Amino acid sequence: MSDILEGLLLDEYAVVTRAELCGSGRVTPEELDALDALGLLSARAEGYPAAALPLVRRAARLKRGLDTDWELVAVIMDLLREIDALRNEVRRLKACQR
Amino acid sequence: MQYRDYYRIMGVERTASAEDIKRAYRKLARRYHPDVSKEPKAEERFKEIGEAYEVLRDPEKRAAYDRLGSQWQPDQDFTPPPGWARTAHGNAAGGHVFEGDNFSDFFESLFGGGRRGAARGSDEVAHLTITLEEAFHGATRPLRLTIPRHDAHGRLAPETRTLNVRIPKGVQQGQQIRLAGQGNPGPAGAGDLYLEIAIAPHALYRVDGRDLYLTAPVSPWEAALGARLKVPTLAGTVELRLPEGSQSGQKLRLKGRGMPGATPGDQYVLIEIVNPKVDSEHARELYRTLARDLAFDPRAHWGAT
Repeated sequence: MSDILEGLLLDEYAVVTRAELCGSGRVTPEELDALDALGLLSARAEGYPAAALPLVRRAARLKRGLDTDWELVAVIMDLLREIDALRNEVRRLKACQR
Repeated sequence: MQYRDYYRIMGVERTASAEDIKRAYRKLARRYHPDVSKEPKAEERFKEIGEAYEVLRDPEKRAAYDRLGSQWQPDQDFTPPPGWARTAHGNAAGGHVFEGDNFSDFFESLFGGGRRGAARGSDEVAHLTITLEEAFHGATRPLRLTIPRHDAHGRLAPETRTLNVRIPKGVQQGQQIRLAGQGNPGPAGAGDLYLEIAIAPHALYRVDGRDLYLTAPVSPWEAALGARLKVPTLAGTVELRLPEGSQSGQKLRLKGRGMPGATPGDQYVLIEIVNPKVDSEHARELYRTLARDLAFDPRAHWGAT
């Protein structure tokens, strides 16, 4: 059995650097700027929220996979986020009925 | 290794123009992209489509593929023709669609198994369901993963490994934990592993963000006269003062007794008055006394007299 692995919890407090976000999100700095310009990343003075990591990965996957432009990716991301929020709400309400 | 009919995968003729191929790809990508698709096996199908597009969109790769001839059947046994030089057909795997994802052996035998750009292995996402107690206290969980690895012959083979992962306390439903370098291997280092956490439903508590909700059944006299209730919390039992005259649906807050974090959540206790069973003449008589002596009409505000 391996050693115990400690990961980075991607919560609202964790922060990642620009280089980390590019590396792990598989985007170039220019692509990151394009995403930032669309208001998807909410950069802070100390870096980017770690929660932006899966977001950047998802955006890059959508951009390449659908062979489309960033503006459309931003619209899809907004809709996916809304769907996620609705799913969570449904789950919460279902749990209430138990 | 088996032959792959890229034209068939893309649903286009061998004579299709670059524009036709792009159109076909976009249509299929919209249908099977794992981020938006509800189709079963979308990811598998999307990889297949991505690989086909990777070849057909690149004139050099497409010409090389076409030179294999059209006599092949899908899934027919295949070995590259003698003297086939991969390097003559553009850059190994150019990787348009998927970051460092693995293409088939068929693709690799024709165009090489290199990865594009940074050539880091791809990231993996694994799902882990934990109990609310584990989320509250933190835990160490063994995690069995099956990840493709290159064997001694450079071929991909699934490998099962077990990781011991620390789950930090206060982790919430849907949050991800990134384990750097634990994803798929690649020539320039492994990708990351993202663990997506789900919290299993709990018999007592309902979770909303960092707050916990617990329903407390109370007797009519406890509600009417006030009481001290022994209330479970994830950190142990506490005593809660139920004020005199409490009603069903009222909510009492145990500050800071929710899920831990920089700002810990609260635990809410929902009051639910439960009437005792009327299973004897004595019980019936007690209720009759209440009815007679209290003159209480809970529906007075309806005015439906």
